[in-house]
Amino acid sequence: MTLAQATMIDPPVVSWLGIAPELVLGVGAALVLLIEVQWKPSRTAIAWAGGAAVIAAALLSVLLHARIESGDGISTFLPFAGMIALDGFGVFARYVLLAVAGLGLLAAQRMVQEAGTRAAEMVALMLLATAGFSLMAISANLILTFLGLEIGSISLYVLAGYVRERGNSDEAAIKYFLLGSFASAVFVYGVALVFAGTGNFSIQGVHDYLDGVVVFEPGVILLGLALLVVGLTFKVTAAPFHSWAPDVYQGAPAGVVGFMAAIAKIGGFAGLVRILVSAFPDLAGDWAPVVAAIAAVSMVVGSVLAIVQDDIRRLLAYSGVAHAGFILTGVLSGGEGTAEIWFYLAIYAVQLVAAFAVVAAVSGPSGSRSALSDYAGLAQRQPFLAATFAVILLGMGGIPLTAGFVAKFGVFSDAWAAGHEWVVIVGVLASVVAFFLYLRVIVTMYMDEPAGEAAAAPLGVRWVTSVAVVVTLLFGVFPGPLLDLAGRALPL
Amino acid sequence: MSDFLWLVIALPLAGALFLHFFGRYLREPLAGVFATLAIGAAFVVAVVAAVPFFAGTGEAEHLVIWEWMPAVGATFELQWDPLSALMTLVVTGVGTLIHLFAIGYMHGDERFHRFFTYLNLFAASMLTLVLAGNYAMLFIGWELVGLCSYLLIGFWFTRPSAAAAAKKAFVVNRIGDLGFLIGLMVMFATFGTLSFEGVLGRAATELTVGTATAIGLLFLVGAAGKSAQVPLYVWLPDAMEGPTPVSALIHAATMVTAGVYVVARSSPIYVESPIASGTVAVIGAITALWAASIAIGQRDIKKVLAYSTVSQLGYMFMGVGATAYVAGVFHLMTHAFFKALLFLGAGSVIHAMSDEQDMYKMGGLAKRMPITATTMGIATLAIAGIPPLAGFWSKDEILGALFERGGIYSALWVVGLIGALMTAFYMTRQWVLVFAGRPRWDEGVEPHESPAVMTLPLMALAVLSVVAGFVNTPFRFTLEHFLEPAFHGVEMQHAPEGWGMFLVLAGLSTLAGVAGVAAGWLAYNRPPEVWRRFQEGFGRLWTAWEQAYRIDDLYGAVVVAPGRRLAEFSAFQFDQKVVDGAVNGVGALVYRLGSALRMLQTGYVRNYGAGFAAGLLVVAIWLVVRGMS
Amino acid sequence: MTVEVVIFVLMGLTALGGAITVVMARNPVYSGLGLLGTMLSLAVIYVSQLAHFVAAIQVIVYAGAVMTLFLFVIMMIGVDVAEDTAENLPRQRLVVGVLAAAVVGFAVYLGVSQGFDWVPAASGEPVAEATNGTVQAIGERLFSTWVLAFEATALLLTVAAAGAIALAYFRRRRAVRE
Repeated sequence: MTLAQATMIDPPVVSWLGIAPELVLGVGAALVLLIEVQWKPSRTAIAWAGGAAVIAAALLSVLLHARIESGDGISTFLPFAGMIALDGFGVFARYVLLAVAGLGLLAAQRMVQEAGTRAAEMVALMLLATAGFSLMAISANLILTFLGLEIGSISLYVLAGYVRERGNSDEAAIKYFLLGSFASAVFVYGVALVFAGTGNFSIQGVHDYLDGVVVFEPGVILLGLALLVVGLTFKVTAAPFHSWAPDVYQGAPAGVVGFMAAIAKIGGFAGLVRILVSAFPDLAGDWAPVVAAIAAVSMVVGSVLAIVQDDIRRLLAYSGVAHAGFILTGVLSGGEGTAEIWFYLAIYAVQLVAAFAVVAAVSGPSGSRSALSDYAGLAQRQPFLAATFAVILLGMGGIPLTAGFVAKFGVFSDAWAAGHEWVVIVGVLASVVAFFLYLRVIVTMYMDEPAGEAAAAPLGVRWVTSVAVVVTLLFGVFPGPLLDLAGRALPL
Repeated sequence: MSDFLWLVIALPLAGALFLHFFGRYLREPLAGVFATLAIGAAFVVAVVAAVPFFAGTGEAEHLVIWEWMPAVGATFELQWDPLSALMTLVVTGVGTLIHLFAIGYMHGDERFHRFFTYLNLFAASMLTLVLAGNYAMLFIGWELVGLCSYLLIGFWFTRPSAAAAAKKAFVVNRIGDLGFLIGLMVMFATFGTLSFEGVLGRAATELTVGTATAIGLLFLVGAAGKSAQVPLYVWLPDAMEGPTPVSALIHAATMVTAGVYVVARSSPIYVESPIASGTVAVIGAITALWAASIAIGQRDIKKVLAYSTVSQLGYMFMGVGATAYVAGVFHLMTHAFFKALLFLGAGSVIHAMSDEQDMYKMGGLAKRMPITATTMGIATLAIAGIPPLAGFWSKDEILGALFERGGIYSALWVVGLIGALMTAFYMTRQWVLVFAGRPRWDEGVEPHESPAVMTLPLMALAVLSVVAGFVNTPFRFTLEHFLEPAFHGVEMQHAPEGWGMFLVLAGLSTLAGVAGVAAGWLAYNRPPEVWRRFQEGFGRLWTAWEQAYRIDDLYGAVVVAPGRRLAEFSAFQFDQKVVDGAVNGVGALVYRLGSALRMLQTGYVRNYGAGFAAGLLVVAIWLVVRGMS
Repeated sequence: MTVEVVIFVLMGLTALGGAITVVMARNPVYSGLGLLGTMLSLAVIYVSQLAHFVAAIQVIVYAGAVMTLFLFVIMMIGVDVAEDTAENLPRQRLVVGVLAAAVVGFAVYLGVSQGFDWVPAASGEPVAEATNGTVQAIGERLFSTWVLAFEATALLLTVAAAGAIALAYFRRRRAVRE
């Protein structure tokens, strides 16, 4: 075959603006790496470069949003041969992801400084992780979802082991890597089985197939779905697939744990919701009980085990398991709960980054163990940090007039309306238990005698916690705007 | 219109905020004076707003202050009707007197201003609760008062017992709150709204008996937690670790009556369900008798009052349970006066005795502190139900309603009478032990009458304890007419009418009161050896009373310990031993060998992997089997 | 039984055997060879599906380059046969045994029972066309439908490069052991 005989390729519809945020993040990561090699700029400059990439990506997201916004909703486009979906879901996902990336960079400021010659790689990996999970969130094709998941996850494995000088950072990274690869393998096998069952990789295609054909023996599709669900619930640390989280969050460097935990949860939930709600709504009767069971187990296991932790990071990890369960209750109502899930995710992600920023400030950015006793009397040593942390914890606990309450209320009322009353009751029970655990930290900070001297909190951490406090209180009192925006975050 | 009503909440809230930020710059009495003025101003506002109700021209108002989450109907709205007006007046009125008293009582405390910050915050929270125009806002107030209670019980947190008591109050109240919360959810699921108008207005027509019972019983769980009813009463006696003004304000006059208020407020729901109402009454009766018997055996002056409060709250529950809502609220009001007085009097005594609380070490104080002795004497007679003091009228109306209701409620009437006898006995015992007889003071204690800032509130409350009963007698139903609009359309139970029945019932309860007082006087107005022998005569029964039936130990053994053990088991066995053991023991060893790879081979990732695989298998098998035709 | 099925069963068994060798072999060189066996078996299966290009890539990249790298690493680290294989978790084998038995049992049950269809979406006999697996066919798909996914793998490679640098260049002298 000569060149002349070759047929021209039919190019797909290209939307540069559609992938501009990811593009900017990827290019930004590459530039950061190259600039570092060529000019050896200061670490602060590197961090700023990363921040600039995030801001640029955010601006482009806003531009994209403005383009597809049409008064009473956000219309959907499927460029790149249906590989990605430009819809309200993706728009909101990017906002949340980029917010977490920005706050994560701020919180990791001290760690970037201490990373020495590896500062550029660190910033680049954070950008790439964001790009990966962002791709996952906008993906309308299971293959791309998998790729996004891997780009994000592998970046996080490396970040978890960044402080290799410390043994348990290494340990955390390898545990995360092994179990994460296992979960990824499970996910990709699920993709294969879904393809075997429906002949489609694209989310729309799977949906259309299931909508149009009565499958008498959907066993293989359900098996694939089971693998997809398990693979993604691993990423969001839902029980019983959570066992890695406490170890990893404890061992990984404090400066990036919040970023890691938050961004993986957002990506994981974005993928999960898209797959369950957009691809498999016709099988909701089958997957809802499974999701309900996972949610209930997560809420109970997370809350109960969190209470007995003496290390704040393990405590936050287990509480993250519980939060994963709370968010999963929103998935139960099919597409109805998408807005509430996003609201919850947005609030929780910001709180999570801020909470770990406080941990990093108290135990040092690359430290590992963070005993609860280190927080005794923090209110006297660091009034600002303690006060903001207290508000964030109260928000996580979900007391009224914080955004956490609105979020919990939203997902619970959706699940209730969808007829999963027992899950809601378990959830309320669990949140009562969980509330006690947040209060325990606050009491430790405010009522115990101070123990030792804490280093002054860096400016970045103060900014992050301040933002989280504003978010927690503002959207607790005026949830309307964010709920409206989240209400447009509908898939496809 | 009462558009300015929000000031009632805003004033104490502003006081709390101001004191929080600037309180430390105020010299000692100033912070207290400021707080007292804030709540006093709220009282004045409430009086002004309530004038139309007194005049008989007022109509229930519904004031929307601010729409928070309109989608779910969570708005900040105030309900201004006679019921909330009465509660507001009690909270602000008694609250002002207690604030005033606390200026003297907290003299010299190094966190003086902080105390008044909390007191004002509590007042604002309590007013939010009673003025709430929907259940969501009511619940917020409900949680906030719980929080303030927690903070104030643990005010002297350097005492381990105070910290423990605060924690206990918190945990027990969470159990109650949980029931309340689930009740709210059932309510929301049924009506689609939480506003008083939407729920209570439609309850009669739209509520099935089953749902009404569910909501009623779930609310009862919450009410029993907050109002310290069996079996959730255990936190209240411990709560006496807080400063005495706190006990008077929160744990006698206001917060603990929130449960009664909620039941009365939800009367349209309770009248739909005889089962829920009956359960409320029975719980109340059990509590009344149970706590009264414990109160007999106490030797701590505040513990007597604590159990007495639990017991009296039981009476209120009996009243509202028998659908005699006016009677229950009436007793709530009179009880607020005389119990606040008793607590403040006890505070005055404790103050005078240099923080001594053991009644066996008191005696003969009447000569040293005549005002305290007289006022407390009045309160004792009032709670004992001696006519014509306040307690007589309100207690009698509850008992009369129980009698009139008949059936099972007749048995509760008998319980109430026995309880009245016991109440009169233990209250007289307390007064005699403290004020009469010869001094049994420790050495170096020189009791003295308290300053005017403390005795003034005592005298004011004494007057109220005398006259408050006349607002609702079988001859003049002023309160009944006053509250009428709030219970519009709710069929209510009343005491029997007519002179004959009144004389018989009142005579019986007066007899019980007088007998109790006489027995208490005769048994205790003697040398210590004699009444000690009298007490020993009861044998193990007395020990049981003295130790409060050892319910705390029981709870410790049955509920707390296994729960903790379970949590510890799951945490330590699985988490600590397996995970941390891996990291600490094997992990450290392996790290000395310096190979991350080795770590994995010996490591416990495989454990996690196995768990993961097991979960995966369950999910997969379940789904696949479902998919098989 | 078509020839295709025979090849699939044979190669499947070989691949499984190789995989088991990777895990079970005491000598890491054997493990490497086991992996090689698995990869080659997969290549044969690809050929039987007429995916010649993918099969060739499989042999060249995996069996060739990747395996060579693995063997280099093994040789450099040195083959330590006397590795400590003591069990730290005595119950692990039991648990895994039960799990494995459950998986196998369930798979057998699915095979025996009538209610499970492995490819419900397939209509009629699948037709393998020789042109499906050509370089041109793959290229066309890769640069039209899958172009975005294809480009996204670039990010994956960047992550790998940056990650490798980040993990390799840490200051050893500061190493602390906790």
